[in-house]
Parts: sequence; C-alpha cells; structure tokens
Amino acid sequence: MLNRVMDKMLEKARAKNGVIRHQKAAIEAVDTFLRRSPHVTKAAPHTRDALDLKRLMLIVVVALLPCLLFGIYNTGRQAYLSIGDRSFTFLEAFFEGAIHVLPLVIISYAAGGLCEMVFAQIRKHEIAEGFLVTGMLYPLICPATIPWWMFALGIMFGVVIGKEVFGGTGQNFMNPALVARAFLFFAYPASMSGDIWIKTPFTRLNDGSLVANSYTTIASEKISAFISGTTPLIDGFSGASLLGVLSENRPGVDSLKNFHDMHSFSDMFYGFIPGSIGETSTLMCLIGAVLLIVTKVASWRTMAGVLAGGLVMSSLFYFGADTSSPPAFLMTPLEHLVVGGFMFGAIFMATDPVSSPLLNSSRLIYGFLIGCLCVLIRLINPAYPEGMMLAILFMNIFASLIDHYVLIGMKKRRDARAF
Amino acid sequence: MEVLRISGGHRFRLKHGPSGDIIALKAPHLIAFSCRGLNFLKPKVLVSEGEQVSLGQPLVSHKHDLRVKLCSPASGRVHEIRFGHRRSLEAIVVAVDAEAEKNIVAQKKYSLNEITGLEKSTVENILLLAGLWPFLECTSGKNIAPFAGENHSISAVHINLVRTEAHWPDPKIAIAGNSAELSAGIAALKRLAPKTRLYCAQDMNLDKSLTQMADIIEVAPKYPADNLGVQAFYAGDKNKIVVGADTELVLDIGHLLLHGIPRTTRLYALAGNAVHRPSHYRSRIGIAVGDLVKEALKSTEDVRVIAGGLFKGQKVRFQDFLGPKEYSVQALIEDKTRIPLVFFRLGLDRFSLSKAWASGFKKEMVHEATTNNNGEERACIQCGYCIDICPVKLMPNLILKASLTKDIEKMQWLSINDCVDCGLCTFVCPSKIELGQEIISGKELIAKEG
Repeated sequence: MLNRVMDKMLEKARAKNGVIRHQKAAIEAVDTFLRRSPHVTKAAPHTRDALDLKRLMLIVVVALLPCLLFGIYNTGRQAYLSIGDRSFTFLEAFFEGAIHVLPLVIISYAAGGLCEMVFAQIRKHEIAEGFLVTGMLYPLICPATIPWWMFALGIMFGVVIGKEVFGGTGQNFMNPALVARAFLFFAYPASMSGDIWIKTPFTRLNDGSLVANSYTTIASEKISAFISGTTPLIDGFSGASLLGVLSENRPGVDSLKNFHDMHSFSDMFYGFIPGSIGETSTLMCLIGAVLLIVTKVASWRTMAGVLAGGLVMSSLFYFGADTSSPPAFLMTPLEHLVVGGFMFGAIFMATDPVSSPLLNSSRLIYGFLIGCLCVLIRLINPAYPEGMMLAILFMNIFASLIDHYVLIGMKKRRDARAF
Repeated sequence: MEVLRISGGHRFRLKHGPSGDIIALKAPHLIAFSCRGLNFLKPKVLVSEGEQVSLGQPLVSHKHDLRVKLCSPASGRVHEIRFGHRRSLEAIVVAVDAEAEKNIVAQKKYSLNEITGLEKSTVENILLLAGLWPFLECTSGKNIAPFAGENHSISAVHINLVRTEAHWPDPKIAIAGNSAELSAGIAALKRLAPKTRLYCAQDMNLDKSLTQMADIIEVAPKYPADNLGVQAFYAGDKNKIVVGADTELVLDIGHLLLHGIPRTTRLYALAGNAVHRPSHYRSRIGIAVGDLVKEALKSTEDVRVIAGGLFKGQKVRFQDFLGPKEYSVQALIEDKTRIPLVFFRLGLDRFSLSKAWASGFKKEMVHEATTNNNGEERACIQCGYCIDICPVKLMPNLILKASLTKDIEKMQWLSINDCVDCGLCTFVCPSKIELGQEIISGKELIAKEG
C-alpha cells in the first residue's frame, strides 16, 4: 500500500510537466524517510553500514522526547500556577501545556521546513536530515509565551542565515537553532526574558485586573469561575526566571535568598521551574544524554568538558567570593548545573557535530571552554543572566581553531611512530 | 608471544561465508594472466595471439624495468589478448594444452637446506625469472617491482598466514598438506631481509620449525590487521621498505624451489547470498569468473560478482578472469528492496557497527552483507566515525577535503600515502561519502604530479 502510493507520487513529481514537480524535493524527502532508498553501492566497499543520517538524527529527536514531554507538562503546570490554581491534575496540566507547545513544534517544522524545501528545490538536491533535529531543538529553547509570528521568523532566520547561506547542513559553522534563538534574543529581548517566561492564559493589565488571552482554550470550568472572581487572586505568581532574580544586584535586595526561596534544589533538578520549554528539567536532559552516549551519536567528551568547565569556573567564584561580591557568586557549583539552559546546552547543543570540533581531544577542550564561558557570562555580565547560548555560539566560532592546534600536535605524535 | 592489536578496524562476522569443504573444479579450457590489481604495471606484451606458450614463459614485462616479468599460468596457444579502457592491457588468455603441460622441463630444484643457504641475489633472480617478484607487496603505496635487483635495503619481510577479512579462503586450509612448500617459501623469503615476521591467527598451531625461522606475531582477528601497511605501521618501521607475502604466494615460491616448476593450483573462496553452497574451491590459477561461479549461483539475474573481497574488490563479469591476488569471490544479490518505515524500527537485524541500531548491542552477531547503499550521499557532518575506525590513525574526512580541493601539500601533510585502502571509512560513513575513492584519486594526483 505504502509502496504503491509513494511510487505514484514520485512518478508524478519526477514527470517534467507534472502538477507537483515543484514539490519534488519534499516528496523525495518524505519517500526516503518512509522507505529505505533503493540505491546500491557503486564500488568498493560493496556493502555499507546501515547507519545513515536519518537514523542518526532520529536518535537525537528520540533523545529530545523526554524533554519535550516534560516541557509540555511543565508549561501547563506553570500556567496553572500563574493563575494561582494548585488543584490541577497531571492530565489537565499536560493538556494545557500541549495547547501551548505543540503549535510551536508544528510552526518550527513548517516554517523552517519551508525554507529548507525552497533551498533544496533551487539547488536541486534532497532535503538534508539535519533539520529534523534543528526543528525540534528550537521550540525547546524558546519560552512558551513567544508570539507565533516571532517564533516563525526566528527559525527562518536560523535556517537561512545560520545554515543555508553557507551551503546547507554540514557547512554551517554555528548551530542553526541557537542562531535562531540568538536572533530573537537580540531583536525582541522583551519577549525572550524577564517576567513573561510562563505562558499564562491571562494578561495582567496596568490597573492590576486580569483579562483572558483570546488564544487560550483551557476547557475547564475553573477558569470561568476564576474570571468571575470566585477563586482567590493570584497566589504565587512566579514569572521571573531564576537567573534573572539572582542577577538583581541592588542594595536592600537579598537576591540569593529570593533565589533560594523561589524553588528548592530538587525542583530545579526535576524541572518544576519556569523557563524555556524543554530546558528546565535536568533529569530529562540526563535521560536523553544516556541515549546519546550509549548509541555514540553525540560525543561524551563534549558533555564531560562542559560539565567540568562549568564546575571548575563556578567553584572558583563560589570559594573565592567574599562579602563584597555580588550575591550571584554564592550560587553553588551544583546549582549552576541545574538552572537555565546549562544541561540542555551541554547535552544537545554543544554536541552538534557540525558546529563542534572534529577531534576527540579538541571536543574536551571545546566543552570545557563552553562551561567556563557560560558561568563567566552568567556571573560577570549583568546584561545576560543566562550564558549558555552565547557561550556555545562563541565557541562554535573557535571550533576550527581548536582543531587546528590539536591536529598539529597529533601529527607530531603520529610522525614520531609511523613509517 | 607478541600479539598485534590494532586500534580502529572491526571484526566482521558475515553470513554466507565459505564452509570448510573443498570442491575441486574440472580443468578449465581457458586460463588467463589478468592485470587486475597490478596497478604499478606498465605492461609490454611479449607474445602475440595464436602463439604457442608454455607454463612459466614470460608473457609481459614491466616497461620501466624489463627484468620484471609476468609469466604464463598455463601451456597452450594464446587465445586472445584482451584490452580494456583506453587500450590498457586487461588479460592474456591462453587455451590450455594439457599434453604440452605434462612435458614441462623442471628447472633447478632445491632442498630446504640449500634454500636456507641461498644468497639474497639468487633468491631475487629466481623470483624475477619465475614472474613471482611483482606479486610481493610493499609498504608506503610503493610497489616492490621498482626495487628489483637494485641495491635496495628491504628492512623486513612480513609473511601473512592470516586473513582477517570475511569471505576469504582460510589460510589453515591452504596450508594443510603443504607444510614442506610453506617452510621452503618462508626460508627463501627470509633471505631477502635481515628481519622476518610471521603473522598468524591466534588459533593456528604452527610447526616448531617455523617458529624458529621467524618472529611469530599473533593477530587479533580485526579487519584489516592482515594488511601489510597496517602491520608495518604497528611494527614502527619508519621510512623503511617492508615487503609482504600472503599464504598463496609463499606456497608458490616454496613449490617453485622444491619442485622446479611453477605451481598451477589455487584455493578460492566463493561466498555470498546468491550462492547455493558457499565453500572453498580448488582450481587453476587465473580461471574465468564464470567457470567458478556460474554453476554455484542460485540465479544470474541481478547478481553482483565481486573479485578480491567485499571491501577492496571489484565488480567482475562472467567472461573476466580472476587476477593473481583475487582468491575471494562473492556473489551478492543486488539489494534494492525498499524496506518500509525502516528508520523507526529497533533494527535487530541491521548490519551496522553503530549502536544506533539494536543489532549494535548484540555481541558476536553474524550479519548479512548486502549491496544496498543504505542512504544517499550527504555533506560531511564531522561525526568523526571515519577517524575512529581508521586502522592507521588517519583523518579520512580531512584528507577528503584536501583531495577535493586538489591541495597536494595538505594531503601529504595528512599522510595520505599511509592509507591502506581498507575501505572502512567509506563503510561507516553515515553521509555515504565515497571517501576511499576520493583518497585513491588524491594519491593518483600526487603520483602524477611527482
């Protein structure tokens, strides 16, 4: 059945005057995704490993699923908490989250996929598989409150400027998902940070009253009850990002205490905190990491490097801090690992093979520097409370340089023994 | 005892491998000297079509050094001189005359004691005259032929009694019953260099006499640990000439010295999923592919016949003749099946070294090799799998980039000439890039530019 349908579609797409000839790239991509390609080897070696880019990328997508599922639940949970309702069930929260998150995933794949398709069609090649991962990573590193048009603009920028202008998958020197997020971060800073990290079904007006957002579709009587004023008003609105609270360095404000009061360490580890959709749960990231490391799809060296770099740099600040230091310095090294996008970045972003260095030892160095830079940006630069995105993008640029010097060292060692 | 363990490489366990049985084929009518695999050879044909030749008579000499000759594998009439692309010599086909072969006059015979006392130059001359010299392998992308008779300094001879690639004839079967020839061959090769290393499988029980003749090195069964270039790399023979001989060549040399006439039989392995009963075959040297394969095939439709191994061999037609180094022949059904939703399966039966498929977790898994490309070519994503598997610690993807831009200095800096053409980088590449072919064209470019 599948074979017959796909064969017919392909035939039509490949016909010179066919109606769907302009969608050839997309149809071929769908075809090779649903069925193994019929190509045979041309020369030695006459047999090939069954692993190809589609499977490789699918493994990363599967590794991202725990983060996505938890992100959906957590978005719904935070939305309920933001309206002061604590009596929701797991399913209700999940449903509420799905309404906010799934459209973003669909927009990400549709808008980015459209750009990919246009480039593939013009350049007469097939759609590269790299986008499978980019399209999933991008919604997970964005806040759920982001307007859809802005979100679509971001991924289009990421795919076109971050990847396609350099030649497409394999030629980009920066992670396209991070390029997309960085674009939004600098172009629309108000939507990317601060107090609106949670997608709440309500907007608080200047006079303090609440109006329901028109796009919210929570199908629960609680809301109408809430609007009519029968439920107590906001109880524990927790919109600010943790790192935003911590970076507040004003006299009279004990930001470290505020930070610790907001959430316990276990909340931060399990991810019951506000933040970007998929980044909050360290536990879910670790589950993904296990899959990536066991299947050897991502480099454990990069991950280990980032963790080591983060721990070393934050320990330096923690143990070197005195009473005159900003309160953020007193954040323990372990807390650095569980807040913000640190773990998500270390596991899914820094390990992108295209934009990270090639050699094993350079990956360790690269990871270590990312970890150090991330903590430095968090603690030293008051303008950017979250440093992971900038740290990774910055090191992406230096990846080739690290490889260059490591390669020279390897060459010397190799020459010392070979032939 | 020393054990050779290589980094990278892989132990392949493949289905449809040759069984231990030996099937004797009936004497073929046509036999040929085929040039396939002798890339160094600039041939000057010494005979013409219709001319009578005898077993061991020179058919071709090497233009750059006329002492290097290649000899007729049979007595009879030259049936055809076959030329291929751009009139390059492909094969010289001889119609076998069994009567004439019986009357071959034996040359000087040597006893084992005499061989151990031979001069280096004498051994060289014997090998040059009998046309066996060009079959010796040499490291560093060079070939032994240019060193013929010169005051060269071969630093070591590697005798390879091991095959780590799947679907090759088992050296143990080749050696069985030929221990005298083996000893004689090793003794003769030992005269060529001050050092002789004998590589053998870990489960091989060698004669005590052999263990005293050479340094024995056991090989952990990982492809391509049987490759001369890989062995020289791990032996640390820096900038030295290392020469290698495989089991069949050692037996050829031993046979020639002991009996005075060239050896005419060869042990072939026929394997693959298109073959009824994969097994070993004994036949003449240089038989036609069709003579070996046709009767064993399940069907001749959509079948690929490969001579010289899955990883390094070439596609051949039935009318082609097996080259002097092609002891392994595979017949595989062209696998164009379109498995639906394959990427969403666990993949318990997928032939992959990667753990991205469930089969990667099964130890000792026996895979089925198929000819499907398992994907289309994509851009390199720098996954580094080719670097991890390279047995001589090269950077295939960096060499690829240098080769595509024809940057000779960069290719040499990346030691492109150390590549042993094992094909593993191409095999593992998830982007399905023809790394091996591109590295070969890089090496050719360097050779051309001098």
